[in-house]
Amino acid sequence: MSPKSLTYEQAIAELEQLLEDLQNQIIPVEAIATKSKRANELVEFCKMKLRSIEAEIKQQGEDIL
Amino acid sequence: MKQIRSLFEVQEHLRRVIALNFLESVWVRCEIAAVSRARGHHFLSLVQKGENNLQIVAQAEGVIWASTFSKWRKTYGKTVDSILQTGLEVAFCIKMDFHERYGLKLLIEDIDPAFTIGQLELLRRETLLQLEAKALIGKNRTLLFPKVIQRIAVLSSEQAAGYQDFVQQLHHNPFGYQFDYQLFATTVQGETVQKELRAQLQVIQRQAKRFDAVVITRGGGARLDLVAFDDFSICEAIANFPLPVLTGIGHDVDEVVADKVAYLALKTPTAVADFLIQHNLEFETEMLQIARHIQWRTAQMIKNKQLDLNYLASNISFHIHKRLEQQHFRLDVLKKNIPRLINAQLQLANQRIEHLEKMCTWIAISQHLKRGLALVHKDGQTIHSVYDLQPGDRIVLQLADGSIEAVIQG
Repeated sequence: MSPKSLTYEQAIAELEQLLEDLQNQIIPVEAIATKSKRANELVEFCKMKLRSIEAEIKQQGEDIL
Repeated sequence: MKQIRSLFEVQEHLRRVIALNFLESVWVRCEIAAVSRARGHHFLSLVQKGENNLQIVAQAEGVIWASTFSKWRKTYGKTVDSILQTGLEVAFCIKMDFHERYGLKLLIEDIDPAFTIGQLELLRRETLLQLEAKALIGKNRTLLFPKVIQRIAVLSSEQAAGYQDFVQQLHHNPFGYQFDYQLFATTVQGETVQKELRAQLQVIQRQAKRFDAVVITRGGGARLDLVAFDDFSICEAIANFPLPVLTGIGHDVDEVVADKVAYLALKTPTAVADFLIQHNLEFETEMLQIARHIQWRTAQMIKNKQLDLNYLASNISFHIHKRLEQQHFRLDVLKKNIPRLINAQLQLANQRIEHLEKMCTWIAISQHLKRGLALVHKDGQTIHSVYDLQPGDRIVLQLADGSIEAVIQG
């Protein structure tokens, strides 16, 4: 799934699942890099979402003032 | 035989009788019933009323010649004009004059103004006593005075300077207040003043709801012209009036009785107008103060609500930031785990490889052992050279099917 169509909560859930898999399962070697990439992608996506929400809230505050 | 005398004889006889009996002038007390003026002469109808004040018990015609009157003017001033009014009690010095053709005429030679003034003072005192007895003094003052006086019934003579002053003063108030006044005209002087005043007061009383107050003005005039305002029935009507009555009768010396029963007595009509303007100004000032207070209070309330709102807003902002912080923390924790877990996976793969590698080596060695070769270990280490061994060393020989201990002898 492309991160763009994800919600924040879906992204977090996928990330948590991914980390749990990494912790509790033996991952095929070829998949390790993919999983690592996906995990970093998801973190970046979530950070971006948070930042945009923060920016929006800040703008709203300024609009009120 | 009866004696028939001529009219002239009789009249002449009468003239002589009168002339003999009234050699000197006499002072006479009477009331003026009517006055007419012609070419400077005054023609008076003099009366005396009975006990009940209704019946006339004596009457005579009198004259003040122009020459006498101008003498009086010099001696007593304008007071005499005020005294020569119908309804007033006067004391005249009279010379009897009987003429055969014109009959009896009282030639008025002198006047005692102090008598009339005294009589009026008596009337005034009597009115005051009567008012006091009926508890009418101060009665009008117990009425509720309206906060704003705008609708005014004015009792005055239309031509009177006092009325013009009053209206002028009201119109030119600097605050732009509107006054709605209605004139109830009365005569200024004379006997009819009382009657007209009473009648007009009744007219106003019938429509009292249309007015806030009654103003009685007069403006100027001698003290004797103000007799009507000492009259009991007028004062009684004022005291009992359902609206506050303000007087501006305009006299300098002393109060008329009407002033004592009015809600408020002021010196002049202008002063009454000023008072009304001032009174309305006080109301407006009070209203402005209330408005300012309301403004201040509402501003205060809005400010308080704003503070509440600001507090709520900052609270919301605090909670939002807290939530976002939590998300950041959660992400950071997750993020920190990624390299560790990836490394662990890589290590695991490495370990598996290493293990397999060891297994391969071991399989190769066991092939050699099966061919009769042995591995030499000392203290857990594989020995690769004889120089590593000394006589007496204890070693372990590993063969294909097991291990055996041995000692180096040399």
